[in-house]
Amino acid sequence: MARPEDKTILIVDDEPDIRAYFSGILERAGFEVVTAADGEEALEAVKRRKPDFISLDLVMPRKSGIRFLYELRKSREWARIPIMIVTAHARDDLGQGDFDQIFSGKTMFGPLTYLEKPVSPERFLHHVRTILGLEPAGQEPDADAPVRLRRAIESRLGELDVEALQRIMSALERNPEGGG
Amino acid sequence: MDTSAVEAWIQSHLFEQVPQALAVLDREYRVVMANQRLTGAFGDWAGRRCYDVFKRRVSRCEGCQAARVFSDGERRTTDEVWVDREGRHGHHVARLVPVPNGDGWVGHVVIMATDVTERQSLQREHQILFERTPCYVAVLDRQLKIVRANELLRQTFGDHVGRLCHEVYKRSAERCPDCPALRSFGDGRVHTAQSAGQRQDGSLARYVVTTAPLARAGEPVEHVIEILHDVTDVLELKAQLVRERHLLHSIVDQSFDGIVATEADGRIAIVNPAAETLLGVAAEELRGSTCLDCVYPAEFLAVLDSRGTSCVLPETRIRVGEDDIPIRFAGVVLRDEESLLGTAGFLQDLREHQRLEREKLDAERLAAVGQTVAGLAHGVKNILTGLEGGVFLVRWGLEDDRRDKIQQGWEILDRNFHKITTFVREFLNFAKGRVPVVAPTDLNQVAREVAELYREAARERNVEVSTELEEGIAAANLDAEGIHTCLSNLVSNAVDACLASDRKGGRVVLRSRERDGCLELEVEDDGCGMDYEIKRKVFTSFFSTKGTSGTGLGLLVTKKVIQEHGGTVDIESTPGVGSVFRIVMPRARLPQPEGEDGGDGRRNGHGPT
Repeated sequence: MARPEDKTILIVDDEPDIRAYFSGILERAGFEVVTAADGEEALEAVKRRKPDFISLDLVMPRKSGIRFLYELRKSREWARIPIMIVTAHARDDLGQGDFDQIFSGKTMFGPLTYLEKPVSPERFLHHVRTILGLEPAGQEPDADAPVRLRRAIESRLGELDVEALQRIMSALERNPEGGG
Repeated sequence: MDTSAVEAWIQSHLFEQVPQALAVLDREYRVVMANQRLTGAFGDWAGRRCYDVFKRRVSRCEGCQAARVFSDGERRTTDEVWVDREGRHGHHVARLVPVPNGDGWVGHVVIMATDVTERQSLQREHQILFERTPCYVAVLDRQLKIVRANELLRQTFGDHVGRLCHEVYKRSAERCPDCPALRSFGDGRVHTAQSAGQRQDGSLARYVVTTAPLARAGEPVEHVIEILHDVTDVLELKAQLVRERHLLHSIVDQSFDGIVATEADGRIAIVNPAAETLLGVAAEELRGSTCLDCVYPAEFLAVLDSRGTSCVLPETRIRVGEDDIPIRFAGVVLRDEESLLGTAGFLQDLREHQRLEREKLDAERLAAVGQTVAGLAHGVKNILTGLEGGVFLVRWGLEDDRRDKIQQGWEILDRNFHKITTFVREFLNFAKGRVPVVAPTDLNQVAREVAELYREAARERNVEVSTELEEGIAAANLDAEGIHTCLSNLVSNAVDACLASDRKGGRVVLRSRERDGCLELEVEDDGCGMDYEIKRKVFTSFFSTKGTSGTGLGLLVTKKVIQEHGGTVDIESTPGVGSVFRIVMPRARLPQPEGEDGGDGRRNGHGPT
């Protein structure tokens, strides 16, 4: 079985904090990590050295994620690099169109997966290792208590409606300093 | 005077005095005597034969009437065409009288001729008149039988001479109840009546009948002339006119727009129900009055005074009682050469329109809040990811005793705490919305302030911020602080776009102008530009491509403020070339300043509480 030390992973995200986060996860697990702040930089990185795996944000300035993928597709070799889309906009108006396009099966030929932000270190690492064949595909690591709590918050955020928001706001307005 | 003297006078004078041409022929047909009238008409006759004198012939006429008179001694009258001394043909009625001697032998014949040329041409004219007159003309006898009918009558009703009048016109065996012909027979005077019949082709004919007796005064009336004037077309036109007038009236009456019109003398003639409602005055009160400023806005009265012809006012106001009502107005002045024929005005009540527009703006604003709520989840997701990353790095540092990771993680945590604070504040600001303070504002002044605000900081980073402001833009009702925020957002974005570009340095231009009643503001940069995808998303909540520095709210706030001004924001952008953000605000849609018109024209609502 291959070792993480033999694998180079390209992290593409316009937010420096997120680049630091993802590269930290992978470095700690022993991977070789390269980062890029947009599609343009990512393309330069691929040209310098073909990575074994790419973690890709979709919405970025200069060259967006999907345009970067269109560039990769031009090379038979690059088109087979495993891709993991990591985005906060996977299933909303902002991301749906790009998302459907990428997962239509016509854009890329290699393994393709996606994660929605926010993402836990365990889940992120598990996906990378599974796709690279470093651990058998199967159950995700069991979500521990903080993760469950976070998921609950996420789902509640997803269900927020105007009324609820207005209630929150009026509460905040009554005590504005307490909110900040 | 004795008898022989009378005879001598008769001989010498009567022969010359009678109003006829006289000639005496002998049995050789020679003219042996003739009066002056004959000589005047036909010339020298002495020794010439009658056919030579009257017809310029060299031999006797066929069927010579004189020859018969010589043979049987009977008087005769005959129509002749003779040729006078000038060569002209003329019609003559000639009476031939034998002059017998004692035993009955006719030795001479006297010809007495009357020139009827003129009478005949009169007759012909009369005939033509009778035939060709564009009426149906008939002569009736006492039984109401048609004894003569003109061409038009024969063509229209058929050639029915000899049949009864009512049979021909109405295909009826009965006499008409109010027959004017019978009355003319009765009293010898002219009568008229109106009636209807059926033409040969079966169509209905409406006509006016005039009957006149054909007899000299005092004589019994044997014939009546009947003239029918066909008025079918006239009646049809009249009915059509009535229908059209009716249609026009109902259009004017049913119109949703107020319609007002005045006559040449300046009196109000038309005030339709919509105008009554709009102006709050009964039509009866206005009709006939000359109170033009009761029905027309001041601008149209000025057009009238300056001898203009029309005016269209997309938005104006008219005084109604205590109120000033917003209306749309179109007015026309009808002139024939120099003289005024009248005026017409169309008034549209804009109160409902403006109310709907305010509702639409409110709805757009609510929709923006809705979008924001949806976007809130994503904003929080990004920050959560940052926090999660910070926590991960700190934990790693603690577990493996790596100070660098603790330091890195802590910085990320710190940044994201700041970010969530800013985020919540900006979000509250956006969702609550400050109440815009609208006042007449110099757009260029605001633009200059914003440019000034960014100029120095941008120059330090090699970006030139400049202005191109159109002079003479009149003050407009704006929320100066709101517009300041919008321009600040756009200029700040433009500077960032220049910094994100591969080129060193950049240029940002802030422009203002007024076109077709619209205020326009432009912020142009030669920065990195945007992809189609990014362009599509920039106004959506919490969309940011500026990494940690952006909350994604700037353009959303810009869009909201411009929407509150009734305007729009558009983008033109090419990756690697630059972007232009363009704000367009029609003056007509700008909000009214606070405290005017009892707040009727105010667009600014209050945020949800």
